[in-house]
Amino acid sequence: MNVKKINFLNMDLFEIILKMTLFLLLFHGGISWHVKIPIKFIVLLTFFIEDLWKKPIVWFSLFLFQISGIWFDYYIIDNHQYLLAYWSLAIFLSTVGPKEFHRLSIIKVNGNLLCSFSMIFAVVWKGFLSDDFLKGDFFLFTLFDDSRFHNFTHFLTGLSFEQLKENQWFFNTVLEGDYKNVPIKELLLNKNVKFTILAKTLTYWTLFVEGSIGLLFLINHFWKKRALFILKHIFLLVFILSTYPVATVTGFGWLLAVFGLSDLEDEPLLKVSYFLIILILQIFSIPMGDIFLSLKEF
Amino acid sequence: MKKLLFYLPSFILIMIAFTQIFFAKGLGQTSWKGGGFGMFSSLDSPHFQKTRIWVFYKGKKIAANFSIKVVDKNLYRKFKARPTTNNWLDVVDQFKNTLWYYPMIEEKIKLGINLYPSDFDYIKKNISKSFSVLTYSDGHQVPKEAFFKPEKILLEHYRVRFDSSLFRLTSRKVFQKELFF
Repeated sequence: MNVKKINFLNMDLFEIILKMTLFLLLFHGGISWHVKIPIKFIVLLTFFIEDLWKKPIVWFSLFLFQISGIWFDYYIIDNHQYLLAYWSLAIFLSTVGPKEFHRLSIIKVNGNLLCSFSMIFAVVWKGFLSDDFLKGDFFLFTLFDDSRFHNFTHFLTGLSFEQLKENQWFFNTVLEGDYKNVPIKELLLNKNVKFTILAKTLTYWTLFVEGSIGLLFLINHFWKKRALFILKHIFLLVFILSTYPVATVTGFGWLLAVFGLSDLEDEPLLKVSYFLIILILQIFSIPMGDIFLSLKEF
Repeated sequence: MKKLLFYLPSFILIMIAFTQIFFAKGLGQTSWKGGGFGMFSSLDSPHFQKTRIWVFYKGKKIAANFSIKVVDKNLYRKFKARPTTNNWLDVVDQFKNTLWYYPMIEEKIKLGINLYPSDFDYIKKNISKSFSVLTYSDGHQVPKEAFFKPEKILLEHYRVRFDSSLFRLTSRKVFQKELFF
């Protein structure tokens, strides 16, 4: 395939970043109706009105709606919604800048730093502040409790989907207690040796890959070395590819890919990789475990 | 000044993340919420909590697991994300001014039939002194006298703990409050 024929590669980087962010906002911006609907309305307008996608008023409005979502939904909103709001602010600042150079450099600097600090804080929480993570408890529990991990856990440990669902049922029974007329206060769960090994491996892998991305993006911000540049992008691509098939937080993966894109200049292979990853992220959302169970019952 | 604006989004991220760490470590907030990137790090999310509500009437204890709807949604979310005594008391307070409509309750008790939460027809919250009649959307009315006042409401808040050494789940009561009417 001739890569020059890919339209995506011929587009201006600034335009690619802003349009990818608009698509991201259309599908994953906000959680309450009073944030989602205005965001969708504004984003759709940018598709219909020429050059509206790069107007400061659009990005400032999108930023304000996201801030209002964070304010009103503070106790339920996910962390990537904060990151998306900071990113919209960065794009707003870049659209205000008069020169082409300023536009891309504001985006590039903030893409790098937002990616770096979100990973660094994630590692600080997991490695130093949490009581559950380093012991492996977090993954021991999450692998069966969170349905998004079931495909992965089933294929790597041999625990059946039924055993994993049973563990989930145990959790709900203990949680509901007397309400279910089963006043059980204590239950033992299904597991095997591979399950324990998998939880430990995931614990250390997560710390390693998140820590590496955080540091590499931060160091490369101050020390412009080609090898570091390539390495940090490889780590980010590996992280997205290894994390989001399991923890299907599509919006977060998509945003990280946009951060990666924002850092590129003349690297067609990396551009195509990030674009493909955004496409693949959509496929990761297919509930394979549920489909497998339905087919089995059928 | 221009240079500072350049870094503003990243600076805000750092400030919010430090604030969230303070809220989590100092005020008992879950690590999952608040913009500090503590998600997927701890088993302390609202998912591990459950409030059980019981209504007492003529010696019967009735599960009223739907009645959390009486509580303002944001107030309850706040309590589950930051389960402190003050936030618990704010939740409990919402039950003080409620009336419960349970058609046929007297007949059922007389006949010794078990009471189920689904039999409750209506809970009227924020009752004012002037309240006298409830009007349904289809127009029929229920006078205040038809509502019953529970003798007592028992609110219990449970938290599930995961013991990785035994691979065991245990539930523990963390808050309890009885309200008498």
